[in-house]
Amino acid sequence: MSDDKTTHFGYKTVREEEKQGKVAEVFHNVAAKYDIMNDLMSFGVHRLWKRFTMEFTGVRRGNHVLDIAGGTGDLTMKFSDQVGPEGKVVLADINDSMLKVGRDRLLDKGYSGNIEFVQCNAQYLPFEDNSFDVITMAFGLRNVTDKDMALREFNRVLKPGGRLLVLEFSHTKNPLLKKAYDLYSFSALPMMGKIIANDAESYRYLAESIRMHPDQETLKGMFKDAGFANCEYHNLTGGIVALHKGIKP
Amino acid sequence: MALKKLDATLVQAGLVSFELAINKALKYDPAVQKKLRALAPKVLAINITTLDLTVFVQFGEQLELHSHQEQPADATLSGELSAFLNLASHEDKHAALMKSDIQIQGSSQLAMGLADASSHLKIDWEAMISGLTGPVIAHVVGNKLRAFSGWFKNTGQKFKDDSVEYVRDELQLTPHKLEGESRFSAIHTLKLDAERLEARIARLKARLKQP
Repeated sequence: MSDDKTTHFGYKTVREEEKQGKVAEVFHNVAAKYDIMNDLMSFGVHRLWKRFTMEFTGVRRGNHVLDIAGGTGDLTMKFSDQVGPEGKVVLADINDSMLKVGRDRLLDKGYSGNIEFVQCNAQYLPFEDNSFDVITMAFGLRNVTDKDMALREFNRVLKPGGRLLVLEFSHTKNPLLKKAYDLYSFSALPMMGKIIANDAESYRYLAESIRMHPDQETLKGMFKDAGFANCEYHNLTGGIVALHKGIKP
Repeated sequence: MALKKLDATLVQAGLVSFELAINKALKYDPAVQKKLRALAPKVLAINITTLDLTVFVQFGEQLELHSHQEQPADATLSGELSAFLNLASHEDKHAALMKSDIQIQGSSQLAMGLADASSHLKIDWEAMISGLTGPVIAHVVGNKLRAFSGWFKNTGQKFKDDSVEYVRDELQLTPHKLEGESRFSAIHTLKLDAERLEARIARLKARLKQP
C-alpha cells in the first residue's frame, strides 16, 4: 500500500505533489487568453463579482494589500488607486505566465510605484507575520493543493484586525439554476475553450474543480479552523459564486 | 413591506449602469458636477425600505454607487420607494425633501447638498449630441428637443389644471377653494366658540362647588 497523500485535480485523484504541476500547466495554457475567456465564459459577470468583493475590503489610503492568485491584476489595479502612493499592493501568483500577463497589463495601463509582483505559493507565503491589512483571493483557492494550510498562512501574514476575502465558485441550491449551470459548464465551457483558446481540457478542469470545491458552509468552517473570527459569506448569482470574509482577531 | 432581498449580482449590475449614466450626464452639467465634487469624500446612504436595499453614494471626482460600505455613512436617507420616486419628480428637491416622509440621519447638510445639486441639474443635451453628430446637426436636434421639452411641460401643466377643474366643476366631487376656505373658517369659529363655552361651564362648576 502506498503512503502517498492524494488530492483532487478536477474529478481525478492525483498525488498531492502532482496537483501543483497540473494546475500550473492549465494556467500556462490559458494565461494569454485568460481575460477574454473570463469575459466570454461569465458574460462579463465576473467584473460584477469582483466589484462586490471590493466593497467589502474597506481598504484605505496607506494600507498594505496582498492580492494572492491575482492573475491578470483586476483587483490589484483598483487597490493601487485606493491605497495611494503611501500604500503597497502585492500582486502574487504561483504561475509565472499569469504573473507576466498581469504585470504587462498593469504597466501598460500606467500602474507602477506602489505595486510589487511576487511569484509564490499560497501555502508558503514569503512575507513576515502581521504584514497586510487586507488579503484577497479571487478564483484561486480551489486550485490550491492544501487549502487549510493556505488559510493558516493568510492568517499568519495578516495584521490583527486585518481581513481575508475569498471570492470563489461555490454551490447553488436552486435546482433549476443547478441544471442550467451544469449543462453550461460541462458542454458549453469546454467547447468555448476549444474554439477560442484551442484548449478544451483546461476548461473541463475548470468546471470539474468548481464541483470539487467545498461548499459555502464547509469553507466558512475552514476559515474558523484557520483562526479567523467574524466569518461570513455572501452568495452571488444564486450561489454560483460566494464571497467569504474573515477577520484576524 | 419589504420585498425579497435582491440578488447581489443584479444589484451590482443595476448600480454599474446607473453610475455610468449619472456620470455621463454630469459631464454635461459642469456646475452641478462641481457642487457634487465639493461633497467629497463624504458618503451618503440611501435606504429604500421597500426593497430592503441600501445604496451608498460616494462623492469624489466621479460619483460611485455601492451596495455595501465598510465605514459608516456620513448621512442616511431612509424611506419607501414611493417617497424617493415622489422626491425625484419634484423640481425643488430641497423643499420636497423637507416635506417628505424620508427620514434623515447624520449630516443633514450632506443630504440637502445632494438635493440642492440635483434640483439644479440641467444637462446640456446639445453638447452631448454634438460629440456624436457634430455641431450643426446637434444644434438642430437641440432646438427640437428644447421645443418638445417646452411643449411637454406646458401640456403636463395644462392637463393638471384641466383635471382639477373637471373634477371640481363638472363632476362636482371637490369644493371650490374659496368654498372650502369659508367652510373651514366657519368650523374654526365654531371650535373657538365651543372652547369658550367649555371654559365658561368649567368656571360655573367651580363656583357651584365653592361653599
